[in-house]
Amino acid sequence: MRWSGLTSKEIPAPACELSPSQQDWEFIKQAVAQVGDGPEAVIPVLQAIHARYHYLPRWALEFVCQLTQASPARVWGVATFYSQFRLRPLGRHRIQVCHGTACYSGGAKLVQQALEHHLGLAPGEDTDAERLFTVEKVACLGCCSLAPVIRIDDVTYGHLTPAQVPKLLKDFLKRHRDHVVQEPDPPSYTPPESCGELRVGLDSCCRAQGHDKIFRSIVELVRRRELPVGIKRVGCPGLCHQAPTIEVVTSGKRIFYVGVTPRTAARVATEYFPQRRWWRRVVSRASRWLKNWLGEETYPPSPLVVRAGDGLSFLSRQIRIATEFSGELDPLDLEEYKRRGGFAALHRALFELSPAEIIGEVFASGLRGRGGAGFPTGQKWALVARQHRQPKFVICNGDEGDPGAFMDRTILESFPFRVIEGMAIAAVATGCHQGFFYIRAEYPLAVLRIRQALEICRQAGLVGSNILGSSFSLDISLREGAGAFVCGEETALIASLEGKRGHPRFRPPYPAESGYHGQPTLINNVETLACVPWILRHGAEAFAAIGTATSKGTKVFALAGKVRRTGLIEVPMGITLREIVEELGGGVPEGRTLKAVQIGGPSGGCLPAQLMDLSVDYDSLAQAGAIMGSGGLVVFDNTDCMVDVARYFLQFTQSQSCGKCTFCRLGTRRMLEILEATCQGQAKRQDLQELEELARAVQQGSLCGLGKTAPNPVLSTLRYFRDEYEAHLVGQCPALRCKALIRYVISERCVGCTLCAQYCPARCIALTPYRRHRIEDAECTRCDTCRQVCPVAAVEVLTG
Amino acid sequence: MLCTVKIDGRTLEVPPGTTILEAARLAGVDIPTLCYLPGRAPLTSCFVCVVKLTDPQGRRQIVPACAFPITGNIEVVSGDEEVAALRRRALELLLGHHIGDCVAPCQLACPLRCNIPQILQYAREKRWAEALTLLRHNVGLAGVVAFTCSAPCEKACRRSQWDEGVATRAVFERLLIWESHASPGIKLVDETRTGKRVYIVGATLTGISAGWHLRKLGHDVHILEALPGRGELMARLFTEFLPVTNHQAQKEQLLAALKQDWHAIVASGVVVEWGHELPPNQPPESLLAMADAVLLACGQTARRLAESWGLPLAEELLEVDAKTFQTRLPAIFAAGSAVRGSLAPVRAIAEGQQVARAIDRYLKEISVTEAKSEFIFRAGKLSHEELAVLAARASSGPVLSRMPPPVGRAPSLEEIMAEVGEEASRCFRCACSAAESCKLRQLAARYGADPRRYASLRPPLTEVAQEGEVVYEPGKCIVCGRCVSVTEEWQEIPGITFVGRGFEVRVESPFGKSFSESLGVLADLCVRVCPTGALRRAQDCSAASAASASSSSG
Repeated sequence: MRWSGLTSKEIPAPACELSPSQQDWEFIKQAVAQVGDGPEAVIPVLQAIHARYHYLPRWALEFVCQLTQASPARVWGVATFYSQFRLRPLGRHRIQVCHGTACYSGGAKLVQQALEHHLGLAPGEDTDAERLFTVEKVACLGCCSLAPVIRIDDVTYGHLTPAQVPKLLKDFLKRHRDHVVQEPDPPSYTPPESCGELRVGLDSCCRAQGHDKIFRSIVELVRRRELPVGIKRVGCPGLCHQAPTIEVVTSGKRIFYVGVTPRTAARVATEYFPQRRWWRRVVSRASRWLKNWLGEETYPPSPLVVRAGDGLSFLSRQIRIATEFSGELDPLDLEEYKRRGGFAALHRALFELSPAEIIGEVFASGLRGRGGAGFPTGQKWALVARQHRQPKFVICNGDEGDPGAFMDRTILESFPFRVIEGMAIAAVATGCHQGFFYIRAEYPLAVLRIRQALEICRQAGLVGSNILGSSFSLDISLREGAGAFVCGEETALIASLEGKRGHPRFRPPYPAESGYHGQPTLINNVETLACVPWILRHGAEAFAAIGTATSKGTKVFALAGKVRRTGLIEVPMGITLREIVEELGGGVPEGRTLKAVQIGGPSGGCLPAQLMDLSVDYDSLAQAGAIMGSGGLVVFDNTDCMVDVARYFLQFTQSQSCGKCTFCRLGTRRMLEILEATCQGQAKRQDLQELEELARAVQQGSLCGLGKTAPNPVLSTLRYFRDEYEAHLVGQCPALRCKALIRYVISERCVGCTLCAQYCPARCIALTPYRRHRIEDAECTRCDTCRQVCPVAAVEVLTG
Repeated sequence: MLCTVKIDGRTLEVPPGTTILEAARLAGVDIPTLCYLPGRAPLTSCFVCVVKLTDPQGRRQIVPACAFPITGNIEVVSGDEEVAALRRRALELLLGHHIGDCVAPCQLACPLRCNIPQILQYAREKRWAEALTLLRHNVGLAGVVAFTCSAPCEKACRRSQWDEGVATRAVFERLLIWESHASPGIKLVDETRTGKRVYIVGATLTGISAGWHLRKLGHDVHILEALPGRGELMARLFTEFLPVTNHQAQKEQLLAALKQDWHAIVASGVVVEWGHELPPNQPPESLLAMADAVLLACGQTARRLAESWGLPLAEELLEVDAKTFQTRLPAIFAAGSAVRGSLAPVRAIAEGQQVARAIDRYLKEISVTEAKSEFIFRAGKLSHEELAVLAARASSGPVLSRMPPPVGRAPSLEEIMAEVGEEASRCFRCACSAAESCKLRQLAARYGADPRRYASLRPPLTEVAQEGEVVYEPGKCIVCGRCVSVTEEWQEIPGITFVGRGFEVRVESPFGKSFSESLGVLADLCVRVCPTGALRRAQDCSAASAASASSSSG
């Protein structure tokens, strides 16, 4: 075995198609009994089966057909639609390789190749011979600032390079063998007496950067030494580029430490919160002095960034509404949330305002849907409120599938109560008594936090019957998406909730009239709902005072790509792209030039550097050929090929199309073929014309948002970067990115150090010490390794 | 309150909630559809029903007519080039992801467009009378053809890429033997008549062939022949047109076949006026006084008449319109040796068939442009795996050889015909079962779609044919969802479903069940609602009818 370190005894038995035992039958019966036997229960039942067996065994599916009202066709159709479901047994562990925008440009493909190579997977196979690991591609894990990312079972690894793969698998297996069973979401630690607190962000991307290790180690230390400090689990602090971070709060001061390790964190804790007993203090002083004297390490560590340092512009330009108290709140501490004004808005909605007044307030605030299309929220609410048929439903759309976007995940993870409050207010305003959270299954922590938060709210009388003692009742349940980008489209989401394949349907009628099971349904995005409590607390005018004439308030963006500071930002509408990229993001890295900003993910467009003064609002962006989208904002520099970027996005939408409509199913496929040929240097001029014509036809001839917007990345790059397309026609890639169009050569600067020859994985450089090296072009895989290792920059990349 | 809708200039009022498609049908505007099923929720998958819409606010958008409910006063454009271009592109995309032959390659290769697949189908079922009638309908001089044709059909046959093409001529020969044994009682032409009369000058192969086809189309046909009688004619045809073989026995067979053809044609009611030599000074008016149209089918006579009538001659040949076969004089047609000099027998016969159709159109006053253009999708080259799919439909027996010249004891009719059925079941049945009913094909013809435009999307030719009666061909499926939709409401059957996503989406029967089992009582309905030939009954194969073959060559 390649990953050695394990003997075959330790390798668990392969998970194969076992003959079901009595227990298995009982398990499925129970699952059905829990979820229900209606046709809409199919997806949750299959998810329960999948969670247990890691795939959907044939016998189980057939048994589900018998137990539920769903027909075999329905069960089979659903099982084959959602990418979460596997029909073949999974290996013991599941490796998900993220192919989101940031991960893609960060080399996800190379990581996947390394995994496949290391596990010795045959082409077309996803599981190794020992059935230990299964490697899967996943659209986006929503940890874009850690790109490239993989997740093994529940453990996320970020900032990967292909070379780390063997070590990483070994590490994982070791942890698994040592039975490091970790609490999925460790709670805050409160000591009997404290004089301050240490805040550690524990969202999924924070954890992938090691925050949970730090958290556990300080909790352990503080417990052991009885330090007078609370260790607080908080939501996303937003400074992804400087993670891991901890924040010290003591006697009114807040000090930020970035780039922390468990050791430095421990030292920070002991420095600010010394032990109470004098003799312990003496011992620790002595040991510290000893270490300093021995020169082992310097002490104490200096705070790398205080709130007034480098991060200033990053934080000061932001206005926090949806992410209010970012990095300060324990996500699941209801009392704290209430202390900071939480549920006051719901109280106001229930007891002070009439539904019409709530809608009026939201309408006056100018809030527009944050899911992408920007439909005025107040107007949507009014449409639903006008319907008198009961039951009416309210749905929170947490199926954020755009690669490169993780705003909704962060909001759900960090501010679950805020979203629940927003949803309850929406329900009060529109007269809905049943609500659903629809959250991507790829966001396990968001699912967990919302589930727990709902339970807490239920016990506190904030959800359920007679909320806060009023006559209003609202029951909220949670459904997990099963891996389909198209289910972010509202009619597809409803189809999915009804237990069908996620096929969108034609609108009108809109869900407000005929949605879930044909009843009036309100669907709002996570961020939209998270803005609502703030509006009711501060008033519509306060919200409307921020932003532009047609786009009010703030927008949360996931800033990623080639900027110095990445992270989650909330900025006022109307801010310019330049301000975001340069002031918040700190500009592109040294020596590079800004080429484009991709806004709106696969539905959006690429805006060139000359449009950097464009105001970020719904209308300006649409006019420029992009969309606000859900808020992914990826910056590209001169090393990014815009044709390749267009190809990447189209490949994403094409693979996520539900396949229902002609243009989307077949047209995007043909467009992708043309783009692939272009990247290969094989396209002709008339192909570009065909591409453009086809793109317009797909825009016009598609039913849902996915198809209508899928050509946007192509059209916007054709509009602003036509020269790059033209260059590809004559076999040149100006960004030196498209492998088929570039070659590596070694110039006369070469000093014959042999490093390139030693590192070349393709063995295409002959070892010639003290003489100029040569690359055998036919063997070269364009992996770029030689250029990276060359100490004298003798390796050059040529195109054309 | 009614809503006012303006569709392509026609205005009507409809109750709110009416779809654009329903309104258009009321207004008499034909909007094409593929996935629309009346009385069901719109599937909106095919997007060939797109129209341009201007709503009350003046916004313009493109919407599928089948789904858009009218709620206010709107203006709809369905008939302009922009909409047609979008529909054409949708069709072209669907055709790009499509594989199969609308018409079998043998039929396309045949100069006479003989419906060979259907004849073979009848032969497989041992329905000799039907097989023979269809053969005679397609090829009046079937005997001559069976003996002299170089058989491009056998070369074009899909099976020829696999092992050896179906031996069409061997099958035809034996059918003709069957005819000679069982001739009385087979009625080849029905008695409906148009009351129009056509004079054919010259009993050449072209003339006879044209006479037969015109007769079949219900016209009265008179062949004016200078020779005094049948014996002389047979001798002339035999020496002039037919390859001289050294084998005396073969010559006799050939002569017998020619006589058999002649007999069949005369029996159908074609009148032959023997010894009728047209005088060179006969004016055209006098001929047209007796007939509605005149066909000059004999080279010599035609030249003589042309000179006296002042028709231009180029290198001794008459000039005619390439499509209508008309000379410069009205109602005077020319074809065959009069126009092209000497022709191979099969070509001469094919020309007779074509000119007959042209005369028929003239007599029925159908203009050439009105004759609808036909759309034929060709599968092109198939891989070995794909041919294997087709091979699974056919038997794998040895090729039937041509009839040997009779030596010694003649085999009995039963012995001869037994082999025919076997040879016919070697047919791959590659022609589409839905060639006539296929909505995709009809719309492709209507919008002039180019099937090669997105040829890179071509799927592999596969077939899902488990036990049971229903066969599914994914390569012909346009994923419209009609079949899935009709099964959805039925709890009694397992039903069928879409599987997969995006480009890979297809229709499947759940859990590896056969389509027949999953469809149960709905099998027939599902086959019927399929707009293409993707779902079919196992026995429905290559049912392309004579009509399809005939219109394509005309």
